[in-house]
Amino acid sequence: MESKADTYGIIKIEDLSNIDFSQVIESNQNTVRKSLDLSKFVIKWNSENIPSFITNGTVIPLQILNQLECIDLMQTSEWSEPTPPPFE
Amino acid sequence: MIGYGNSVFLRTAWEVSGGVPPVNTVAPAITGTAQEGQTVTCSTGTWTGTPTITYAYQWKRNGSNIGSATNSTYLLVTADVGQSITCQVTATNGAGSASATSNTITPISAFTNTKSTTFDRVDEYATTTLSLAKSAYPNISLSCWVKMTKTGLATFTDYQPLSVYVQLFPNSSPIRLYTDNLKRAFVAVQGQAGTAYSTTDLSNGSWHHILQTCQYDAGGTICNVYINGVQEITNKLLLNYTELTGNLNIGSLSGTTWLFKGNVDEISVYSRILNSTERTALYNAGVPNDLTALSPIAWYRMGDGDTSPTLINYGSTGTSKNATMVNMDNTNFVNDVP
Repeated sequence: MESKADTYGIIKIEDLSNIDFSQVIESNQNTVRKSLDLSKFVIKWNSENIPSFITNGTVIPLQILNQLECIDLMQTSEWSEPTPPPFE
Repeated sequence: MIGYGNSVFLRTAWEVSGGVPPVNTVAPAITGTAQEGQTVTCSTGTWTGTPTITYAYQWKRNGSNIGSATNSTYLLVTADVGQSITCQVTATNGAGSASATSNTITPISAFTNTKSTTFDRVDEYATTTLSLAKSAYPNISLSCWVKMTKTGLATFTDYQPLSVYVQLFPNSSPIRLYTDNLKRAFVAVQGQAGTAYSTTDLSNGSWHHILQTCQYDAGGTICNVYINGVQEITNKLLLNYTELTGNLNIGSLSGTTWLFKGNVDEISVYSRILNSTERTALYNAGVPNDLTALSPIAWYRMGDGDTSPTLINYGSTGTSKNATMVNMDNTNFVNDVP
C-alpha cells in the first residue's frame, strides 16, 4: 500500500494564529482538529518539508508524532468523545 | 458576355427545374459517448431543398478544421479531451449549398484508474453538498472500493463504530464499517431486529468492493449489502427513522467523528436499486470500470483527474456537487488501485 509520510504536530491553541497554512496540509484555521477542551490542535506536514514557523521557533509543538502515534492519540478521551454505544 | 451568359443559364436552370437551394431546419447533432477513444456520429440534420441534397462533413476542434476528419463518424483522440468539438454539415444540390453546425461536445479522457485517495483517521475527510434525502431518492445504491489494514485501526471489546466513510441518511442507512476486538472490519446495517454484519474481513490489506442498496416504502427500509459482488446482508429491515437533512460525506460522519483509515476509490451513487446485471457490471470481476453507462447520479473517481481540494463529480448531478477535500492535499492521491 502506498502511504503518505506525514509528520503530525500537536500545537497549543494560542499558536493557532501563528500557523502559516500554506506550509501545512490542513486547510485553514477553521478545519483543524482540536482537543475536546479546545486547548490544542493538530497540524501535519510532509516529513521532508518542516514548516519554517517550527524550524525558526515561532511555534513549538507540544508533541511531534508519526501517523500511527497520532491515530492512537486521537482515540484518547482527550480528543474523542466516548465511542457511541453499539446498535444493540 | 460568356460569364453573364452562364449566370443567366444557371438561374434559368433553377427556374426551369423548380430547384431550391438547401435550407437547414433542424441542426446536425453529434451522438455517442464524448470520451477519448470513442467514435461519435454526426447526423445531417434536417434540410429542405430540391433537387436531391448531398452532404459533406467537417469535424472541428475549437472552431478549426480537424485534418481529414470529413466523414459522418469521428474517433475522438487525446487532443480532443477538454476541447470543443463540433461537426459542420454542408448540404449541396443543383441549386446551391449551405452549411449548419452541430451541438458542441467536450470529450473526457478515456477511462483509466491509476489513483485512489487515502484517509488518515486523524483529520482528513471530504464533504459535498449532495443531499441524498430519502424524499428525493427513495431508492438508492451506493458503491465504492475500500482498502484497509489492521494497522492504525482501533481494537474494541465489542462491536463499535470505527468510521463512516460515506454517510447517506443520518441515523438511517449509511454504509458503516465496524471493527471487532480482532480489528476485523465489516459493514454493519442496523435493523429492527438487531444489526446485520457482512462476513468478509475488510481489513486484510486487500481491495474490496462494497455495494449497499436501500429501498424505502411505507413499511420501512430494506437494505442489501454486497461485498465483491456477493450478497452478504439480505433484506435487512431498517428502523423507520425520521428523515434528517444530510449531505454525502466521504471519510467521516461529520468532520472529526468516525474518521476513516485506508484507501477509497470510485465512489458512485445511483437513484435506483441496481439489478443483477448492473451489479455485475459495477463489480466487473474486481476491476473498476467506466460507469457512464450505469448513469450514476454521483461518481467520484477519488484521484484520477482530480486536483486537491476538489474531487470531481462525474455523475448526472454534475460538478456543482463536486466534493471538497478537507485537511488533505495532492499527496492523498496515491498509485494504489483495485
